[in-house]
Amino acid sequence: MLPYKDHFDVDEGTTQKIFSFALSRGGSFCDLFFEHTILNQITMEEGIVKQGELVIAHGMGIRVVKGEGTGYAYTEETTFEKMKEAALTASAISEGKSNVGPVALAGVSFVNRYPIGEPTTGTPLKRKIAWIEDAERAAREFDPRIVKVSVSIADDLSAVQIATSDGRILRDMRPMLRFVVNVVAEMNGNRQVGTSSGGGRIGNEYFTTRMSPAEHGREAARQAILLLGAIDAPAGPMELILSHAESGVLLHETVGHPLEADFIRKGTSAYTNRIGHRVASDLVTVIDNGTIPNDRGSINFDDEGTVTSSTILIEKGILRGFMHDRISAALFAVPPTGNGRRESYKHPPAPRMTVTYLANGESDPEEILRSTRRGIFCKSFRGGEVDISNGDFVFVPVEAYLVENGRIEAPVKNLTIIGNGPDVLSKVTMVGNDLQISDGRWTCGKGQHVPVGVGLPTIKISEITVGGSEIGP
Amino acid sequence: MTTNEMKRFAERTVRRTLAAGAETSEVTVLERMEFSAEVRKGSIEKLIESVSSTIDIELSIDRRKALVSSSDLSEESVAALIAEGVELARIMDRDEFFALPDADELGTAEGDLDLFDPEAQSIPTERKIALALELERNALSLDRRIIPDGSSFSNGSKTISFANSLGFCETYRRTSHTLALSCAVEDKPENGENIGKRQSSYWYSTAIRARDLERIEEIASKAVSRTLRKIGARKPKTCEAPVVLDPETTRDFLESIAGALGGGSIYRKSSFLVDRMGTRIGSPLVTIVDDALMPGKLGSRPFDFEGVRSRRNVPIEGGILRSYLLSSYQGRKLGFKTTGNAGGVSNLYLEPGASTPREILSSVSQGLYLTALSGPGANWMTGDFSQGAQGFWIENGEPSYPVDEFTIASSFPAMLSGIVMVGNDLDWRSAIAAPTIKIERMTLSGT
Repeated sequence: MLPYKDHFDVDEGTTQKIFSFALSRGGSFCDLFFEHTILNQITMEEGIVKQGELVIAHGMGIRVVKGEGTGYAYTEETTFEKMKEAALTASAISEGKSNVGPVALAGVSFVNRYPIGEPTTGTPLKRKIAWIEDAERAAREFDPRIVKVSVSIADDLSAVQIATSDGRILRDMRPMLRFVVNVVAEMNGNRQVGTSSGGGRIGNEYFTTRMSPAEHGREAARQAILLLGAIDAPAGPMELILSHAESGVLLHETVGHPLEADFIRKGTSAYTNRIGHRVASDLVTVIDNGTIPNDRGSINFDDEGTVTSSTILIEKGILRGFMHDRISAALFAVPPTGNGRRESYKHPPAPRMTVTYLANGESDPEEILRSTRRGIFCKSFRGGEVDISNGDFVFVPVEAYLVENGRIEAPVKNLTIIGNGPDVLSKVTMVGNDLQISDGRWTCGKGQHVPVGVGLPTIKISEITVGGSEIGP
Repeated sequence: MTTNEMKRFAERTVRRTLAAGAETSEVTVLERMEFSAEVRKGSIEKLIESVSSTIDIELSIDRRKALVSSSDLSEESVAALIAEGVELARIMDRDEFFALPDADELGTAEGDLDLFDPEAQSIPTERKIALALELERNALSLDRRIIPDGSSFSNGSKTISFANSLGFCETYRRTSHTLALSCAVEDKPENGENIGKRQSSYWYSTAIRARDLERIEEIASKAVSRTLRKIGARKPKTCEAPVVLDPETTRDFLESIAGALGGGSIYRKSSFLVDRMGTRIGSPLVTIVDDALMPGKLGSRPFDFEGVRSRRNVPIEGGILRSYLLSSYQGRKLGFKTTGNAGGVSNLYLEPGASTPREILSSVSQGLYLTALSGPGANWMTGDFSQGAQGFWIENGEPSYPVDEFTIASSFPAMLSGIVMVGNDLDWRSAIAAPTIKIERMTLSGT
């Protein structure tokens, strides 16, 4: 283990001086974001532990805000001279002159959302390798048609310190565990892939309390073997049932992104000026909640020092609020929601989701299935994408089935599902009582990569366009 | 660091890695300068400027491999990093295929690749901001309905030094400049439903040299017309139809092909091109070139990520699969020599054909002109293809109305065989370059 820097060698006096350089040209606010991250990864491929990796990211970023404008600079050398230089660079967002006296810094209290049983970072490599081997063996033994298996375990630990010119200082240690199994199944030239992954801001107890390495191995193998027997998906509009947990991807794309307030303040989102309006069926209540214990998308406070909370975005179909960073919150004169997030010290924060989910409804998931005449039932996903301005979104299922007269029939492959956000949310006709948050595997790529969570109860959408290749009669 | 200091640092780190117990060592030192100014509604939205460095060390002991990297280049930190790497390598399994490239493959391509604009660092910040502002002003003056969504000027430089324990040590620099504009417009359907809908689009120009950027007037007018032309888009019928892909969407398609050609995907059996070497995989019009030696192009490089001398490869020639894109490790696994593709493609392009884009559109009586693809549904591992789409419905050879909220589906083998026309309009704004193409038939899923 490398000596871990759990604090940054910057005293209050230095911080105050850097603030005064950063605000010397009239910026209205500034913050200093320090980060020291250690990432460990081990990968097994073709039956051998092929590569060990260690990545260290160390640096600090300075942001100066003036109105809606941001000046940003960062440095990897956290010396006074380099930080002063970065502060002066970032100060250029404003063109005036200003003398800022010393700001007294005080800590902010927050609840730790990621209590850890046994930290993964620092666990002996032999133990990590044993987990990888368990998963590999389980995948291989699942079926002789599994021809390739790769498994990796990655853990990172990020020490973060934020000091703001309105006098707050916050420190956090952010852990993250991610376990991934990828397999290829082969039969008569037909080749399919299967994936299972999970984790979160959690320690080794993940494997005993949530999902074991062997279960991940079997799950990836099951998926690939299932897809060997899948038929090409149909094309055209039909009913859609989304199974709970992973299908939250739908929500992330349809309303999540368009309700991030940077798109709202710029007027490019389809939900601009729509607060108080009906934007979905009355069965739809959408929440973004960064406080879910040990979730991949949770954070104790966001990357500009706002303590994380839970925000109701849509309540029974009515638009109630947006996800804000400090800049948009100031502009809309509302409190920041704790959604100002960044990928690393190299990036200024922007409004981003944490854990986004749909509140429970009253329907029995079985009844939702039984009520479907002809449609598609989706269980897991590769991901999605949305066009913020026209509201069109796509998402791509991995495990999906045809449904005929209330019964699950053949698995289908090669399909993208497309819809228009406001239109599809008005067609949510049933919401189940089985809300579940997906295992921690999602990363959102809006300009910067940040880990997020999604969740959903089983729901039914009365009509959506299924983009397969087979045109029916 | 100066380039000479970087080179010496890389070389010294190789020696230190060996002294710490490693048998092979490869060290990459990267220094990156980035600048970006984004403006919106006449004010600066974001101003970012920084210099950053990283070091990557790949080392092995008895063919057991570890990779360590850090943004902290201080002596004591690098020493600790090396010690970690050595400890990590010892616990890995032996990979009999792992070795450094053959010594005679190492080297730097001859001649000047023209990757560096000496003027990049001397453009004053005020000038960069002024360019972004001028681009936005220009766009807003074209149509009063335009909602600005950011106009930016960004540039940067990278210095890459690479050294290995076979004695190779070289360095090169590259610059890039980009002017980009995004905008939106309100799109109110006549029936009044779905209030709030907007359409958006963008245009950008990227070049190694600032003076090679497209003119501001051109970028503004393309971004604006690409946005306005989407107003009133409707959902097309579910059908099979010929599809004309514009250079941007052909580029997306090529990017997937590049993934499928990669040696890593092949030995992992995660590519639809596995077991297809030497066979016909596309129409005779399909020739795909990966050429690292083109002067002034964004993907050019004198050597690849493991120091192998750059070259020109033709992985697909007249529809026949001739080679994969390989690093030395991937080559050894598959029984071939390296193609100089450690780190991926260089400049990968579909060789342009004879037809103008207009001629290609004219050849379609009813069909789709595809201008945008979305979502992760291009699965080159299995060959499946189904993606979200936007574009125009073609009637009698002319794009007649915009279409959106539909998908197109087929498979990579069927699409490659179905390419019946290739345009002459190769677009070089990125390292993967493509012209307009026409695919005989794909499935559209809409109403």
